[in-house]
Amino acid sequence: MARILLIEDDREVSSFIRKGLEEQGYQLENAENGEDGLFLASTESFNAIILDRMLPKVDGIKLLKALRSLGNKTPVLLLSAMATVDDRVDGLQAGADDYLTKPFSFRELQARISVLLRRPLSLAEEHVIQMDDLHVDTLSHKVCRQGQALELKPTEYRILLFLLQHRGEVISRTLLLEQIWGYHFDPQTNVVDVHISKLRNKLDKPYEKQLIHTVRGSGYKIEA
Amino acid sequence: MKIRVSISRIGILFSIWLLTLVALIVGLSVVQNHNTPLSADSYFLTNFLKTSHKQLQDQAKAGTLIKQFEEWRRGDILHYRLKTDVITIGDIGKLNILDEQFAPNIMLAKARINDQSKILMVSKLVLPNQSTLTYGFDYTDHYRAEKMSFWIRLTLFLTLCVGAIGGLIASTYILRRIRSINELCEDVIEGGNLDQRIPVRGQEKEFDSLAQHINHMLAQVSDTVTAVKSVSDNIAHDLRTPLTRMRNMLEETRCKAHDPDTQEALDRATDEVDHLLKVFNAALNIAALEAGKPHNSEQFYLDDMIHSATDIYTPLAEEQGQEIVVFAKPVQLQGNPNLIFQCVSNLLENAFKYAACGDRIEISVSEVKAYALLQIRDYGPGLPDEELDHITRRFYRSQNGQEKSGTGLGLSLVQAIVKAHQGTLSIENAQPGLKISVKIPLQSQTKRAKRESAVAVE
Repeated sequence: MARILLIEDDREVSSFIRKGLEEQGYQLENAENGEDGLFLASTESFNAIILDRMLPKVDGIKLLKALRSLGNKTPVLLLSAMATVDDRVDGLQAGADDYLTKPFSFRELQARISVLLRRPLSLAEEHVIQMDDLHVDTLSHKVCRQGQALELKPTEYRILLFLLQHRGEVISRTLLLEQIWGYHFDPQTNVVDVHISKLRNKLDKPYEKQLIHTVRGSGYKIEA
Repeated sequence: MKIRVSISRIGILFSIWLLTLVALIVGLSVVQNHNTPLSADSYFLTNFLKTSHKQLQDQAKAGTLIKQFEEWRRGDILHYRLKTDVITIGDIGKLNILDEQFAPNIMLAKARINDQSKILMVSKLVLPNQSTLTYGFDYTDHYRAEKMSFWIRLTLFLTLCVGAIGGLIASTYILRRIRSINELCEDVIEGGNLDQRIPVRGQEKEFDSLAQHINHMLAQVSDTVTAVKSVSDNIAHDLRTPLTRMRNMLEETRCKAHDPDTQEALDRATDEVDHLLKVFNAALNIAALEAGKPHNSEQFYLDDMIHSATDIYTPLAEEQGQEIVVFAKPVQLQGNPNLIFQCVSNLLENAFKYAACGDRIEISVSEVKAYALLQIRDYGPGLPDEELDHITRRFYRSQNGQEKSGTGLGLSLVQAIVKAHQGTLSIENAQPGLKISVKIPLQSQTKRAKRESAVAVE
């Protein structure tokens, strides 16, 4: 059971997050100001922290820096209402693992939390990923389905690997762009869908069982 | 407008030129007069003196002059009138010679006659008995008139000179002030920067009041624009949160819905909300950039970014039967990578949207002086020239793009991002196609946010 610390002073937002995440089976602790948050974060152990950037008493960035300087490595998702101009770098530099701008859709929050909770599998641990009849060798970059080798382009391979590392989770289009190419931006076209459909043409189309699923309005997930 | 300005300038220059010419003529006459100060009057008088000189000489030769002279002295006649006011001078004391060579044989001299200071035009005649007869006119009035006219002309000359120089200075100054006002107005019209003001110098009332009026107008326009912008930004801001909640509720309902028709309807509703949120986010981004909200800045390679963008968009291009051709030289740039990437992405998507019929899209990256130059060119239909100036306006849709989807804010956001990096955006018809150039200084002056202090204040 994953324990999540939610440090958020806005009761409406925190009850919305709490309700949603508890429904997903997470266990939530709540702190309403920076001081309490820092105390909880440094004295108890959590699987992840959801931290609001603007807090009474100690603000989010200061709290985060203090936490990191204590050697605490708990993954932190920073929430910010400083919605507009790109200010994520600040947060990431202060030691946040991910960044989400208010207002956000619950799905996006959920996807990012699950990405935080399940860190990518290290290559040494598991260099062959298997899911149903799909085999991916992360050393040789070979991808097979039902024993047949699939010719994937480097980009297609990276997308597949990322989906596999977070199998069962809904990955939003912006998150995918951010993780694969490293830029946070907002496309006005269906560019991500085109990449996915290229991947699907090779991975799913020739086979009866579809592995990549579209979650309408949210993104994609890979699931056996 | 331009013609009128040049006519007024020609007028001013012409009048100054005329003034200078007249001053020159007067000046010349003054100089000439000083060398040979012979007016028509003086000329007549000197001639008259010469004639009398000749008569007197003849009389002297005939021996009648001495007798005559004796008679004059006896009768105490000092003023011997030949025809006009020629005088002969007997013992009138010492003559003070003013000009020995006024004319051949004629001098100007000063003398006291009847206790009055007189200027005399005199001639000397050596008589047979070796005595000298000095005679002449009372030239005082003429002399004074001549002197007077000399001073009048000199004064006139100096006045004209001062006038011409003053006029030149004043007109240069006036033209310069008009030009500066014009330049500012042009800047406001073209650059759309309503924050500029004309300096009020407190020197010329007319210009200052003109400047104040224009400034006042600018301030009013600026206030109106700000009010309109802030209203729309506030709407975007205030609607974003309820829209997000609505979206979450739609999602929740969608999870519980089992009827395919309901699911379809909920999906479409979610899409609509997503579109609205996209528009609002873009509008708020533009507003924040325009408000000069600081953003993070770092060094990165623009050519690497373009290669990533090409990687992302190539499948989309292929789907449209297009090719993305990149000419990129390594260019290191200081800026916000995510914002610049958004800018590149918007430009590319714009090209996909409006130039789908073209066979390729060219992207080039190069360094020109201290600038990074990014150019994106498509081979589509281009744009009518009259639309070129408008397409960066918010929610502006090109005539041939009315039915295309999108926020209508793509290029406005590009414009705002480029401006936030002190760069310039130019759009031109490349025939065929449209060429968009983005020029950003390599070391942009983007102020790094002092987040700590900003957050502390909040």
